[in-house]
Amino acid sequence: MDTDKRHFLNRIAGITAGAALIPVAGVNTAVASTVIRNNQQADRKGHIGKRYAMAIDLRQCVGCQACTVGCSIENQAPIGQFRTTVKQYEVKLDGKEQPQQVKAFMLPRLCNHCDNPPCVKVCPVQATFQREDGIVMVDNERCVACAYCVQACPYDARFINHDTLTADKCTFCAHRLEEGLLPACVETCVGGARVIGDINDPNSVISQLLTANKDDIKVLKPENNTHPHVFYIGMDERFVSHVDGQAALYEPVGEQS
Amino acid sequence: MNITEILIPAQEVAWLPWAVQYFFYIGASYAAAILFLVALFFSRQTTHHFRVALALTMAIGAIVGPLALTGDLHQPGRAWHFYFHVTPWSWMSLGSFFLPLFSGLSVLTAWLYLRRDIAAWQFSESPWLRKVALLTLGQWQSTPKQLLMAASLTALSGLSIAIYTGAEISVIASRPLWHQPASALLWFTSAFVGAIGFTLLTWTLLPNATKPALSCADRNIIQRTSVIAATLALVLVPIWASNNPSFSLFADPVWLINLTLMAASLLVCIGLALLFGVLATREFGVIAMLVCSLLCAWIIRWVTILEVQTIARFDVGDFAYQLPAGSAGWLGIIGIFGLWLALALIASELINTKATAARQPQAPQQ
Ligand code: SF4
Ligand code: SF4
Repeated sequence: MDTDKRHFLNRIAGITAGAALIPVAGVNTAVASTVIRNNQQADRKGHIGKRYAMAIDLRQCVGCQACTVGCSIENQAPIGQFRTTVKQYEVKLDGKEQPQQVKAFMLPRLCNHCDNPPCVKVCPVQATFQREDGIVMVDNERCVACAYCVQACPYDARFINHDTLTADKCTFCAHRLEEGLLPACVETCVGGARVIGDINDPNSVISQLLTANKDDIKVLKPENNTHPHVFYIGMDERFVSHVDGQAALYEPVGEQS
Repeated sequence: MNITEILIPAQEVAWLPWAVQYFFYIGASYAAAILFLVALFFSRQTTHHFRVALALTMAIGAIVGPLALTGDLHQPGRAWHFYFHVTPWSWMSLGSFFLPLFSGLSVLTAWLYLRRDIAAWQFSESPWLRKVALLTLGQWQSTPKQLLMAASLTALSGLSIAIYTGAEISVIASRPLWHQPASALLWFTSAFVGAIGFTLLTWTLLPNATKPALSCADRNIIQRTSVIAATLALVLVPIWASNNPSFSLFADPVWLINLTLMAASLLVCIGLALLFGVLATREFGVIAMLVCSLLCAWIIRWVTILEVQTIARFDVGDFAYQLPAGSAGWLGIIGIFGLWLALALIASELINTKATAARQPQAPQQ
């Protein structure tokens, strides 16, 4: 309770500073539906002129989870929490054929770096922001870990990191992109299913891949109007919005250390 | 085609029971602020002790609620960031201004109302207890006008809490069960049920020696508030529950239990409220009413805030949640309720002096 008290006092202490700002600024902006990117600061711009996106060619994905492991090692997410992972499904096809045809379906998942990101809009301290190049980031020195963004993301892409106790998510490995390296998941992908690049450049590999497959591109939950920028090639529409099937055994308890 | 999930990590519940607790206490608090104003308007008909119970429900909830809320921040030490990085387009940021304002006003109003009771401690036999009277901060008389002004401002500020808490969650489009006016209205209406529960609890805690029975007007306020609020909430439950496109809550056995619990607890509240004329004269009756009201407000918040998070947004789900034993779970819930109770007990002692009794009958505050 002691810490509670202290934090409460902290909070009270701040009131006087902020109280004058409430109503006028509040009401107007709270109803506006413009896209909020929280990136006015100079160090929040990223590569101006570019728009990073990822294409995932599901026809190439074998579900080996190399990307999951690569990301976990690169970004050190705690055990059991993932910035990216590959969801796997067993699909029994209809039809009279005997034996019945059974297929595997793999769905790599990560933050979609949406162009209309609901997670950014809700953050009460502007800790999460979207750079000009489309990458959605979290300033985890500023994040108060209220988990509002975790709730707002329709894709379960965010989580409260058990180690840092702040919001965490995929950053497209922005720190690697800055050094001219590929994101860890792209680098480790055995099938070459993940392609990242600048879609503003028509000559980039991703632009060409997307153009070549333009009739076979889907994003997740387009109805949410979030404009995701992870594009799936070879996606079955039954996996676009909500999976209708039998549930997995969630969080199976393995060996406890 | 038949799909079976093979490898799917579960999404954790991100808003912990702290959030439920916050909604529970702050809801009761803002509803009590509104009811206190009503009781003040009818100060000739309502009893002083009933108004004290309302004022304490309002003030204690406004202290305990925010504490529970900071528990829901995983970085409570950074709460000052709210005031350093003001973000008017986020309801949570707006709330960080509305909330301390409301807490301050609630405590101020309750203090103004209780000043005469506090002042009566100067007649206490113990020199130590006489010091309690210093809490009035001076000898000046608070006028009925000041009190009415403060109570009105607090009620208005309470409405700002109702609006921001409702809006904060119902803007979340990723969860259709939240993203509808019915969710905010359900919290608003059931807040009054919670307020009645806490007010009766506080009233029960007030020392018996000097306590008159609830007046006819007191009982009317309790009865009408409960019946109207619980009936509206009951109508809202099926409307709220119909808005889940991924599966029908009514067809899901677990959700059917949740919904039944919500509806049944509301029905019981309505039933008890209708009988309140009889129940009010018996201690057991008052206790039954207060326990059911508190449980009802709690169940509604638990189901609509916590259980909703176990519904998977993309996967098949459900991501079952088990209440842990530690401070984020049982311990936190019991601890905060204990704090509420401790504050209510201390505050109720404020009107427990012989001196208070000496100044009976209570002069009307207006
Ligand atoms: S996928 Fe989720 S976390 Fe990523 S930008 Fe979109 S809404 Fe935000
Ligand atoms: S958890 Fe952090 S990044 Fe997310 S909304 Fe809260 S403060 Fe912002």
